[in-house]
Amino acid sequence: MTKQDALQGSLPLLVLKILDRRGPLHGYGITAQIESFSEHLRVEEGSLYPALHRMEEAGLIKAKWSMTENNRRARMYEVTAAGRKQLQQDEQRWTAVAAAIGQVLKRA
Amino acid sequence: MSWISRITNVFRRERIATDLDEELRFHVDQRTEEFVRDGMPRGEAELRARRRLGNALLLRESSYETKAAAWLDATLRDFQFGLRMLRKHPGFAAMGTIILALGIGATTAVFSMINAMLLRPLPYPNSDRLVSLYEPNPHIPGVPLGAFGPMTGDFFDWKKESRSFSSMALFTTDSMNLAVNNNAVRVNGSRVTGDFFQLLGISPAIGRGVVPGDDDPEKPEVVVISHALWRSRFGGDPDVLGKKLLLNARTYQVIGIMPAGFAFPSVDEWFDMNGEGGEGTDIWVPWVMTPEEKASRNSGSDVFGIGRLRPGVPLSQAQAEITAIAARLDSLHSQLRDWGAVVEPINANVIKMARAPMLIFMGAVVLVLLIACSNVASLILARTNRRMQEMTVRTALGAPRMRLVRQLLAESLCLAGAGGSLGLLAAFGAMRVISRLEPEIPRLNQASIDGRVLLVAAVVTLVTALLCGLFPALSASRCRLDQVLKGPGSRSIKGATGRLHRGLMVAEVAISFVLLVSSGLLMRSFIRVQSVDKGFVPNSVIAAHIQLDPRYDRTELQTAFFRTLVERANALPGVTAAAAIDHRPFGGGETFSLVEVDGAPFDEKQSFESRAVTPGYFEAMHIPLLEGTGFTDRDTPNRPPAFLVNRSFAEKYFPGQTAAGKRFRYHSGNAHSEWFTIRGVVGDVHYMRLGTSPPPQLYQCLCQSGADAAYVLTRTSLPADRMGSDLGKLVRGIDPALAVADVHTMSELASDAALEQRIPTAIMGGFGGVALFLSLVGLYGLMTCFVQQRTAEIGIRMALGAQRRSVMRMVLQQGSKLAFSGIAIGLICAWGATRFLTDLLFEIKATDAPTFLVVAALFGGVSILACYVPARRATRIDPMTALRYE
Repeated sequence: MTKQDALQGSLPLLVLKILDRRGPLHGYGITAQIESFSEHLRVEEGSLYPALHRMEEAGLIKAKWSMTENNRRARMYEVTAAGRKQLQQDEQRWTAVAAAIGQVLKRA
Repeated sequence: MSWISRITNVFRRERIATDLDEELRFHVDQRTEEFVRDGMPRGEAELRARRRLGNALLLRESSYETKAAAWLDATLRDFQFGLRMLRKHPGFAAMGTIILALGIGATTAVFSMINAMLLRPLPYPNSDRLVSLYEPNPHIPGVPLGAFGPMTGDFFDWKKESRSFSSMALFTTDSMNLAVNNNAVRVNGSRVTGDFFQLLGISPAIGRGVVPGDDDPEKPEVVVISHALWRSRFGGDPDVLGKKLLLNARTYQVIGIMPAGFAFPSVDEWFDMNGEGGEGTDIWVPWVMTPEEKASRNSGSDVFGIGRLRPGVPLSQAQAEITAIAARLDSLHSQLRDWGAVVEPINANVIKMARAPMLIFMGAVVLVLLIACSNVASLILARTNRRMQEMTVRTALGAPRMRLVRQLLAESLCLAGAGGSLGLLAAFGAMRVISRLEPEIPRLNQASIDGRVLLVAAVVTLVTALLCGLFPALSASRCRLDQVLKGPGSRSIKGATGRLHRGLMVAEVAISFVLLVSSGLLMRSFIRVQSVDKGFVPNSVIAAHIQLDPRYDRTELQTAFFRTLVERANALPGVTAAAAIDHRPFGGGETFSLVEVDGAPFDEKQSFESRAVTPGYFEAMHIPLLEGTGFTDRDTPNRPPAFLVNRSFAEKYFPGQTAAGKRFRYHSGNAHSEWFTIRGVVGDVHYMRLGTSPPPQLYQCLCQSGADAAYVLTRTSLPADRMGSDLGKLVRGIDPALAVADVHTMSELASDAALEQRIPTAIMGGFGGVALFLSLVGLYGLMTCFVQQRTAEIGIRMALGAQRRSVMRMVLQQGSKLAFSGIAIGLICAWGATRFLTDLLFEIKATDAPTFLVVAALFGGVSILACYVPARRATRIDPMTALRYE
């Protein structure tokens, strides 16, 4: 459990950011996007779906079934207004914390 | 919002699961495609893709849990599983359901009785503010408080001086003769003071009620009638106001009709001490009092006082105030009386009479419920023993202990739920039957299944489920993997649950024993009451009541009327003897007197029942004249009054002597009458209750004392309705304004008098029977289980040459050891518990040894019988099969 928890803190933030930028995406698409943008992050696929469902329950994202280009049903996720607000807050906090940690690492 | 969707998702589980599966499959397929594109063979790609996603089952579970309320889902599944288990074991399910239905049904029935009789408020606005006012006479102990209405003089003083009451009213319960088509019929009437209707908070449906000022003797006489009387007498005519009624040979003007159902004072809400009522009141008239009557401190006993407390004033404050006023007034009125005053909630009378038996029933029914619970607990235990394997597998798969307990509790809750619903139905049916069989029990006909009863039934069901499910669940979930997996023959587990099982059984037998002893005691007491010598021969005696009206205001007029009536009744065809008495046997409404016997110290705590009878009464009732002479027609108002006493009186004061010729005098407060001479002694008669021995009794000649109402008694072979109509004609022939009422055979009245014994006896008998049945079923089940568990052992014993007889003895010994420990504990418990029955028993001690012994023998006998069948089964065990069984 603890291994997943380490990632879970930032996973929703990444999901929100990706969905905000790229528009509706299915779960696999989200993993692919995260992996292609970052060179060293690998998404734990096992924790992605529970996270997506939790975020859906919390109303940050919404999902609907639609067809992909090669004609398969896929569950597409999309940011909601609440999700955008959350993204803004989390992003700010993340940047602030990252900057603070950077400062400590630099000066210590 | 999210909560609601999570709860609704529980019921859409299938749909959500498919969605999840599809989503994950899509993911795996995409990943596989990616690996294939990178040049991996398809089979390996798919495997890698799956592995990367991780444990699909776990993933699904955790995703699902975010979407649905997991605990609710698990609970529902527990219940589904529980129901499935019950369906798979119909015998167990039916047994458990029936046992619990008996227990829960009995509890619900008793509670709904208590609810109807004791807890439900009277149907008047803020009826919790209504109180009764009494003025108990400390010189007449042992008489119910309800018999002491306030003296009118005292009442008006309290009313004037007290501040705790918003109003106070005085009323009577009167029998009145209402003229209908030149004939008279008897109605229940009530004379009320002006505050009466306003105090109860009920206004008439039509017209007005009695108001202050209506008691002005100058005003025309007015009457308020009941809805029922309005329908029967006036055909529901809406223009009834101002119409005339001829009541007690006087004209009254109708001023109001009460709403349907209003009948206060009625016996339901108010045990009227006259015993004449039975139904409700139909007529209310203003109580017209002269100034002397208003100030009287010597008024009769048919008076009742009620009050309404001011908002916020507690009962204790009102009581303190009234006590203070009464004390102050006592010193003002020259007579030293110290009668005091009592304020009580208005339905305290009913509650007081019903409380003791109700508490006993409640206690008994809780015991029955406990037996049912322990019985079902044994059933569940026996079954969970057989399910050890299942529990072990579940534990091995990682089910936490709580989960197992919850699962087993859900099962017992299913069982209790089924039992509870069935029990509720049974209780409802039982209430209908009881209220049909015993319509005399006040307010019982109103017993129904209301919200409160449902709530209690639900709580009882829950508690029952916990009681019968928790022990087995805890003991079964305590299973230790290593020991169970070692094999089905593992001793330690069976040892633990077996001990619990046997403990339950012993407790069950002990409780049943207590109940059975209690019902045995009541039954013996009931038989004693039934066979008690009433002191007269009730068969073929018919009693009918005649109420004179205020025209008969002199003793001469009263005695003349009753003398004529008895003479003519004697001459009726089919009548062998006729007489009259002012208070008939089992009629209540006694006259109590304080009497000092010449030569014996005056005991102001000893009150005497006294009655007025016509000459010929003792002959008509077959009451023996033991000494001296009886009353004769020469005993008239202008001759010295004649008195007879009963045997108890004579034996108490003149043991070994003749009582005839001895003297006594009446006491009233600190005044006393002249000395009177006793003319003779007659046999003891049970007038009040069958369940007590007759106290000293005094008779006076009705032809000397007079009476404004009396029962005419005829010994005849004619049926009661025929006799009633003959007597009716006779009375009308003497005075057409008078009516005959309350016509009953004496045997009927005597059996009604046993009512207060019959009901507890029947109910406790029922409980005892149920308890006996349940504990025998339990014992039988336990022994069957015991034989089953030891099949292998018995098989080995028999293979080694054990005789069938010794096997049987072993099983019987095991069973009777339990039964007899239960009986022994039960004996001790019953010894302590039956003392609560003392008030209900007649001529039987609460620790009556024969009852205890008979019940113990009965219990021992039938419990051996209950063990016999499993024991026989044990002797039939085939050693070979038994050994293969392992």
